[in-house]
Amino acid sequence: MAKEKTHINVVIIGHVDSGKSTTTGHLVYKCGGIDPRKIEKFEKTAAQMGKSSFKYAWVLDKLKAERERGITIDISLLKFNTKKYSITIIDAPGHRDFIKNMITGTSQADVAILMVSAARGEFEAGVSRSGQTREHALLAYTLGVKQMIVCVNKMDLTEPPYCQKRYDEVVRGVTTFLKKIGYEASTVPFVPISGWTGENMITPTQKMSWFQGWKVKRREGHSSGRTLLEVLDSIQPPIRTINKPLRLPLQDVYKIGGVGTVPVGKVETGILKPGMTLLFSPAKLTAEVKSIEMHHQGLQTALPGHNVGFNIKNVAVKNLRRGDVAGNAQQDPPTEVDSFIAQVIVLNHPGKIKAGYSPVLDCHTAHVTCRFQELKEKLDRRSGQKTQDLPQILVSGDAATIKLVPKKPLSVESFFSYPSLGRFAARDLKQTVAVGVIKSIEKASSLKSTQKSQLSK
Amino acid sequence: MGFGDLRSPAGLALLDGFLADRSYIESFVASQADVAVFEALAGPPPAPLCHALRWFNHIKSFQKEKGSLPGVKKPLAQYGPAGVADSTKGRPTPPADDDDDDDDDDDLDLFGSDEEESEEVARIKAERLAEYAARKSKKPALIAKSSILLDVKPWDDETDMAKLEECVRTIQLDGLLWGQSKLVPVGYGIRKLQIGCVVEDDKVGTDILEERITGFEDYVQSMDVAAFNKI
Repeated sequence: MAKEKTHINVVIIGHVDSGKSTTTGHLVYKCGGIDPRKIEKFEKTAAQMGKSSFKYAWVLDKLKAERERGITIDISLLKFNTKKYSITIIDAPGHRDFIKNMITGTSQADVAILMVSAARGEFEAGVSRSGQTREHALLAYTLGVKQMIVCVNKMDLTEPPYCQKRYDEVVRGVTTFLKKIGYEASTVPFVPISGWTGENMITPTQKMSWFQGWKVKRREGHSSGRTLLEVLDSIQPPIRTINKPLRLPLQDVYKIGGVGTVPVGKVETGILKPGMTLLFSPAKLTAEVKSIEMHHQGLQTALPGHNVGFNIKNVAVKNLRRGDVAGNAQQDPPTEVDSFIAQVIVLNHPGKIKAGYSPVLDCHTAHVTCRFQELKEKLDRRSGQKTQDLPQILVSGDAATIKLVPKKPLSVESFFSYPSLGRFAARDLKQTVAVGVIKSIEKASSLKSTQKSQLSK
Repeated sequence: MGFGDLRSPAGLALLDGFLADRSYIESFVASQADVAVFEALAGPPPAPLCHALRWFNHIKSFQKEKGSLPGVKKPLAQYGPAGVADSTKGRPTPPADDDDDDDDDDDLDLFGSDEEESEEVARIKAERLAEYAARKSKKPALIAKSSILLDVKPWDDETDMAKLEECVRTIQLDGLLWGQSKLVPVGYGIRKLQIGCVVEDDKVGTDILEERITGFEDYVQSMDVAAFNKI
């Protein structure tokens, strides 16, 4: 069954003209992500209208039109299967709020596909300063998406078509670009494709006989192949974080008649079992888990990625809220933090940021105003090397190490120990003004602060 | 070639001198060359520079059809008298040489300058960009839209979900279109409303949606974004 396959989230980034949507559509279409009855219906209409030769493009257009009208929910979730994985594709929009969603959203990307167009002028425009490609790629890297795939798209539109010289030129350009961000070029597979005609997407093409295939060198082993689908199958699955202590940030807390208090949230690391004693932070409450349910079905063990509700004893609904984090009271439980040190990149601030600046931070499900207490060091964005001590001001584009102090109780973690609880978006003026990853935390003094780094992998 | 810094008096004086015996920057008709230089200016040249001002007002009259003027925009450095370099800062046209940090739009230069580019490479790049811009200007601008799937959560298992959905759908914003929805079981009898919407990127953000949806305090506990895709 498809359901047994490991689930992977792939975010596709690239310039508006890179052909992201066409390629995504093609993959989803060919790999069975669209209701077959729907395709059949569209294909039939296409045939009747004499558009059989453009059948594929026509169907995609129809599906796009349908998405635009918001008719079906299923199409807004782009899913398909490869041999090994069940893949959800996130077609990154240019929308300003997408960045926040990329950081705190429920489906965090495991892999990024960078789509570039080989068509004349389009590659140059795609990686120029304007456009969100750089911003998205940098964010992906900063947020720990270390696996990157590059699709050199629209090979059918090079001059002449399927031109090796143009491909090589684009590869050189993208390699430089990725190195600047921090990616190691040898770990990044490059595939020349056409999302429109389908070359090298599912099956190897005859039209680019010069293409030797893609290669990737990874610590976990090397792989190679010819098509995009094969690249997707060579992805390293996300590391299972079952062995870590439990972290479950609460999304909601319900009061259910005849049952009692039911918090709901996603298990980020570790496991949740009935009978376990939980500690909620910063609420500073403990409670025993009576039962767990997911989609109205009882569950004996909840694993990372599971969105679950669970019933707890002796805690009133009003004492818990969204943003609290549940952990196993016996195993490195979460704590409130007095302050934390983060590496921050300023994205969209219209002016100058000084010590004392207090935007709202969105970190896991928490939403708390935090003060930039001390601007400790200014950094080179790529290498993370210090360029200046105690900078007075920061502007858009700057990276810095900053000490932050929450204005209300907050429980967060270092990115290294618990990634999803250690990254945040800083919001001000309805914009994401900065993003950051937490380097270290200072636990609240009332609790023991010695065992900061006692973590299993 | 170039006019020095077109935002400085010296640069404008050069332009004025250049235009003393010319009607246009290049050849004998208004072209993209005029548009490029025009767009590099901060505003009308001062009155004493009568040649520049005359040219400025003339080109200004082409404002509406400036996209359709003949020619291809080139970097500023390729216009004007020989022997003068271009050093105009902060001009808004993209097909500029890529050697200085002169972006003044809201895009970020997150990567510093491309210092290793040779002039030749920069020239080819600028040419292709200009070509691309020309082609692009002929295409009708598409309105960027996103499809967002929202999870709207009630207070308990007794919340009237039909009423909750009705409330959500009363929210009307310019650039917002509500789509299909379904109820998804969470556990213990609780169901959440999963509802799709299509938004115009420049008009509707998730903040305003969250603000308006959680505004129905009697029904809604919280809202999360379940999926966020380009259309």
